[in-house]
Amino acid sequence: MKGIIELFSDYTFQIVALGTGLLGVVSGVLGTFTVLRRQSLLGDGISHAALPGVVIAFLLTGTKNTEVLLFGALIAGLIVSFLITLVTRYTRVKFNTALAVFLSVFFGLGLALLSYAQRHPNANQAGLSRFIYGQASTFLARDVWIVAIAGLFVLILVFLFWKELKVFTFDPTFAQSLGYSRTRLDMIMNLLLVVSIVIGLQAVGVILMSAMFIAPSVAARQWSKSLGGMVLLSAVFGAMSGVLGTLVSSAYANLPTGPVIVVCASIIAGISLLFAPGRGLVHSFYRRYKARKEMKGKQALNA
Amino acid sequence: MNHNAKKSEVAIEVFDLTVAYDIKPVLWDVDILFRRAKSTAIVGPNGAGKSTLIKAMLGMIRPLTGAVHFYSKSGLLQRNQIAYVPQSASIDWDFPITVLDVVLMGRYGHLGWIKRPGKHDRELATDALEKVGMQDYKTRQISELSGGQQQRVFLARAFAQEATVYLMDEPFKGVDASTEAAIVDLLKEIISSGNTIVLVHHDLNTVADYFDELCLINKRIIAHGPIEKVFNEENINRTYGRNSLAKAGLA
Repeated sequence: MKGIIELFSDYTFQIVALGTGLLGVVSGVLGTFTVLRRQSLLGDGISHAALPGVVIAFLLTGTKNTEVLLFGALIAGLIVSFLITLVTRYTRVKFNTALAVFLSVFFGLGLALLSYAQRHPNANQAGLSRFIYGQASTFLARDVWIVAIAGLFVLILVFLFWKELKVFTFDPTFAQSLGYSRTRLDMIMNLLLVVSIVIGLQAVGVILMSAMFIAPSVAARQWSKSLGGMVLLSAVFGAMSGVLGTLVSSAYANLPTGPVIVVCASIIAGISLLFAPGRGLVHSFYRRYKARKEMKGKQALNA
Repeated sequence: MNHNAKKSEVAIEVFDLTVAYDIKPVLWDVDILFRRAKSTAIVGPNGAGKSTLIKAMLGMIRPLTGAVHFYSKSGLLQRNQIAYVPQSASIDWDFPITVLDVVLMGRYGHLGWIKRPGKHDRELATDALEKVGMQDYKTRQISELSGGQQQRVFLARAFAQEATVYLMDEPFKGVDASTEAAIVDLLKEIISSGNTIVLVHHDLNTVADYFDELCLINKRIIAHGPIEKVFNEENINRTYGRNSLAKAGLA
């Protein structure tokens, strides 16, 4: 216990936990929409596609500046989200196929460019490989500022376009019939998604980032009856995973933060799937068991 | 067809509408007008382009050629006059949302971007729910509703739009007999207050009882006009192929 209290007063821990917690809030909020739109894996495609963006930004500028590298990721993410939307809309290729193609092509390109970039004298210093698995322990105060500002931008837009996001997530054809532009809404949605993925890359990495979107929202769905409730709860679960994961990985020096955060989020999702009242597996088994027993009792009485 | 109708009697006019998905034509040169304060059933086999016609009228599908006018004006300007009731299977009924929230979405067209629904919108949504007899379900989750109740909620959402033209895609699908009767009453009410209905329908047995006009369609308009003039064996056979009346169980 004393160890934990000491940990909480540690400056590095505070910085990292603040960063991962904020990250969890943002990805939890956005994840709700992607999960409900049945596009859970869109985040996976975008995050993998961000890798070549990071490496190209490094190759062009030679900098280790996180802002510049993340800007490269942002551009690559926007390009791939645009391509996926375009291909799904205008060709016969289905969403999941387009996603798989762009994910592997961009990630492959990223890995190839990465091994090329490693020959660059600054490459190790720039720590490019941290974007693959994430390394939250490299978080500095300025990195947290990036997360905070970009996250605030995302949350404000979600708040402003709440009504539009809601109707498009629930019933896109009806929303179109009201005169709302699907293209415009898709653009807003993709922008929000890409921004919230990009700010998580440094801490969680391109491979695991999509779990930060899916796990908290799957968990939140189990407990909530309204979109607002689900978004709030998902944000809370995301923040919890971030802080808890940072805590565990700081307590055991060798554990990488990103994966531990994702494990925490998955445990929350697992508990919710099992034990949530109403929707949880345990409750529904119990309900069925009770109904069957009552039915048998009635049949016995009738016989 | 009946192009001799007076302008003031016409709610929707469709001119030379041709729609293709990729290169496969789905609707060919459709020319049709829907009269004001009448209900028209669009009937035809699967893949005849019934839903496509509705979506093209709403501007959701871009046609190869043709135009749609509501009240003699270009369609897109008349959004708030038009209420669209999609097939209820088109949405996820496990979505975490209450009945009232769904009906409130009917007000979104009047609000425009960013602005939130207010007290007036909530009152209209509540009135709409009362109209379809679902006022007791206001705060229920939509996942708890039966097929018939889902359809009533969709209708309530359309009523909340305060539209004058109702475009409906199979509102009788998956509803029980009592709900069907209730919906038919509501349709008659819409018509009697001077509004117009165009509705995709499947059941030839009920066409004559429920609607004023019939539009038989199979990629092209096969026949269109008042039920008593259009609803006959010859036209049905031309729409569905030979002897299909027997197959439909009507002979």
